[in-house]
Amino acid sequence: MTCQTAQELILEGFDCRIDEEQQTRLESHIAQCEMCRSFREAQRVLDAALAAHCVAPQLSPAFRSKLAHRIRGEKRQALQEWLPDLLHLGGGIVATTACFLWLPVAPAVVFTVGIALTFFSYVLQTVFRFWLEDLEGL
Amino acid sequence: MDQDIRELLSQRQKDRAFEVLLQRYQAKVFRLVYSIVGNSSRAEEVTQDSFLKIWQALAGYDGRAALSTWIYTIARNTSISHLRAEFYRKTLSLEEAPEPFAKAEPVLGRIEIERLLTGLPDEQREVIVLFYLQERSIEEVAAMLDLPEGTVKSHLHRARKAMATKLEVRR
Repeated sequence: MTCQTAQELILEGFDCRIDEEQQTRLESHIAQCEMCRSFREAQRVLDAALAAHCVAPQLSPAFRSKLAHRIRGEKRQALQEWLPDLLHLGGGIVATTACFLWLPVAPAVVFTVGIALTFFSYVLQTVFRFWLEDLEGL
Repeated sequence: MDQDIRELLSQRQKDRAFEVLLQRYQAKVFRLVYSIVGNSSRAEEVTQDSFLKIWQALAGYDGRAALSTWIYTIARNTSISHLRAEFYRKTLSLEEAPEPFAKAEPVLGRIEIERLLTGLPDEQREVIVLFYLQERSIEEVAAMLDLPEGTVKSHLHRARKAMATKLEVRR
């Protein structure tokens, strides 16, 4: 066994188990090789130091509640973003229904005009919102 | 794996799915983030950001990648963005200086180990820290960093060799 192979096996041994045959060959190499013996010793010291050093940290007890708070904020924000659209659609439906009930005009005309106006005012509202967002961004 | 979460998602029970996911992955994601940012309070902040992003994107998860891979990718990207932002801000106060990875008294000095770890290339440092945080599971480290197991081993070996060499030189 060469020193390079022996050192690879030594390192492998820290990551996972090496089989018995390889272990025996490694031990017989190390018994005769001072360099590989000191390499293994250095790696053992390093491994122990790293194991003691890298201890898993714990999340604080407030982690969950803080995250839940942020998620609730996100949900509220999402609703706020949809609210103008929902109100607009609701307003369009109410206005069209009121016209259908009280105006002496053919229902087909009321619904066509209602849908067209709802769509047109939605486009206007969207353009207005983008314009406001641009102004805020400046 | 994670079939229960996928089922909850397919039933449109996003909040319940997220609750199960959080329970299963919060500690692992925290360790992954910690191995990248190297400071527990900052790691907690970045873990919060990661889970918020996961919550926002959960309804759009299409199941093409394993859920764990998807989660770890979001956590890694969030950590890297955080590091970049930190780098540009350059506000490394004394309070925010990287903290040691543990409080236990090691065989080698704490500062010495910290110095050895800091001297490693980022990917080697992340792999070696995560290896010990994940109780020496190469499989888990490979999944978390989205690397083949062979690459994880090779990073580990290089890191161990480099650290041992530096240690020899200093003595």
